[in-house]
Amino acid sequence: MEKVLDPRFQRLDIFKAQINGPTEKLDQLPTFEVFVLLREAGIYQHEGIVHAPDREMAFLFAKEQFSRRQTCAGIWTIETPNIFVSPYSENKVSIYDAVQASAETGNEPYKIFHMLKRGKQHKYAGKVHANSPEHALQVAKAALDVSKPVLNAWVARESDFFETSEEDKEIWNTLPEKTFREAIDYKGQAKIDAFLAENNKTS
Amino acid sequence: MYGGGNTFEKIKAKDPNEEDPILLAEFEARIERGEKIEPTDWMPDLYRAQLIRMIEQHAHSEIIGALPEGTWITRAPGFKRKLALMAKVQDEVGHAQLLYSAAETLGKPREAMIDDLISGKSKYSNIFNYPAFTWADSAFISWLVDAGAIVNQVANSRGSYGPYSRALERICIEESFHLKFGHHCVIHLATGTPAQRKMMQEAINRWWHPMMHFFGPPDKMSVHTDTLMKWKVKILTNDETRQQWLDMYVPKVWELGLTIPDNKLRKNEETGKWEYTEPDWEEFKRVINGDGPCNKERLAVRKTAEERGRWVRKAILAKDAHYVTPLA
Repeated sequence: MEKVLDPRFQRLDIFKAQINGPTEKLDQLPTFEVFVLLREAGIYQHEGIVHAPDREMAFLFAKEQFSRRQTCAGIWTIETPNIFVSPYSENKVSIYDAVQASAETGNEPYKIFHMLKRGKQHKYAGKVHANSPEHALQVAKAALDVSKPVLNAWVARESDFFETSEEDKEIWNTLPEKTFREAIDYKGQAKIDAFLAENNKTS
Repeated sequence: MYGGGNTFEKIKAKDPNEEDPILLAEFEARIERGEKIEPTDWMPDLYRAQLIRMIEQHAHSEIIGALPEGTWITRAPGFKRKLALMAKVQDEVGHAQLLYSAAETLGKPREAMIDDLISGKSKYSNIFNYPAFTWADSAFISWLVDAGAIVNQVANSRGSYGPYSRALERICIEESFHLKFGHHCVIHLATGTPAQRKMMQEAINRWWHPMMHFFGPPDKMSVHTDTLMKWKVKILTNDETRQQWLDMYVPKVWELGLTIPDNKLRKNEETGKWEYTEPDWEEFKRVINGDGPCNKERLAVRKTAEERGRWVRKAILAKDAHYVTPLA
């Protein structure tokens, strides 16, 4: 069976196109880490990555990828290498155990994210002012809630993030109207029951 | 959407017996305790290699799986069906991106995976090498192929690798709409006019055998299977997933007064297992290795999209951008 069924084929004459597969070196785009705020009262959490040429485009892709199906109140994107990653600790041991708390702050605002359980996403823990990522952890130990063991922390300069603004939020206003994306919109039982009742009558 | 990740090539990885015994013991103890493995943790070579292969094949299946349904968007009956199918196909492509990202955390760039798909080096779910002739075929895919995928994905989301589990959790939530949408389409045809019922029945007749292939051949227990199950890479055997799917969906097909083209198919009430005619596993191997009705067409569409999109990627590529492995 060699008959082509895809209607694009008749239009594009696809088999005649010169196709030799990739010949150039990888055109891999850099990756951006995406943090999403599901609802106003929540906290930002890491949802995954997108590939993009810059952080604005990363936001566009992230909007499609991570706020298409659920409610959304905000997105942050940041290029992967701009995140400083602490070592992972073992359970019940906090990475802050090895950090000297510092009350002395710096000038640069940093965002801190914590992972509290293996397998769970990193969540936004707060903002501190510091002079380096390492210093930011020292300040965080004194300033943020680190009462539960933190298994891993991500630290990044606030200026490296692309953040959605208040006005941007209206792009999510129509999400609740798109009920055709919801399982609950597809009820079939009544039709099956009517069909079975009809069949029982005739047989 | 997802097919069982079957290939017949031996995996090239260091034997677990050659790994550092102390690191290996710590790794296994972590999994034993029910903890997830994260990208920067030490892991055996076989674990990494098998996960890359599995997740990559899963991602390719999402991309290629979007093709047979994608062509039905413009021809779907009614505006709402068009909207829903478009949303579903977009979800499938989104799932591929989630999965490529999860595989990337193990060290293989997305671009390399796409190259391997196009060159035919890495496989995708075999079922998408069959054609969707009618709207009923598309409905079969949305309902029953996605149902099979969900059985696989729910099982795999209990696996030990953190990024893969997280991706699968999101995917499973999104798939629930696909399943209900597909069922809705099938109910509509099955309770409709005689012509609609006939169209649905013919689709089931066409897709039954590929669907039985979908879960893969009966498992031959090898040393690797044991190890991969212990490491929670493989959660259920092929037969277990097939049985689960039969149990959940055969009664729903029968309920609609439709038949299944296998007169041996029945549930053995004593064993609680479904009995069926073994599908032709030689055909399965032949199609996986390239000789199916649509293999050429599917890859040609992918290759053409790659070729035609190249100038866009070139135009947007920042010169000083550099790629690193994503974090999670």
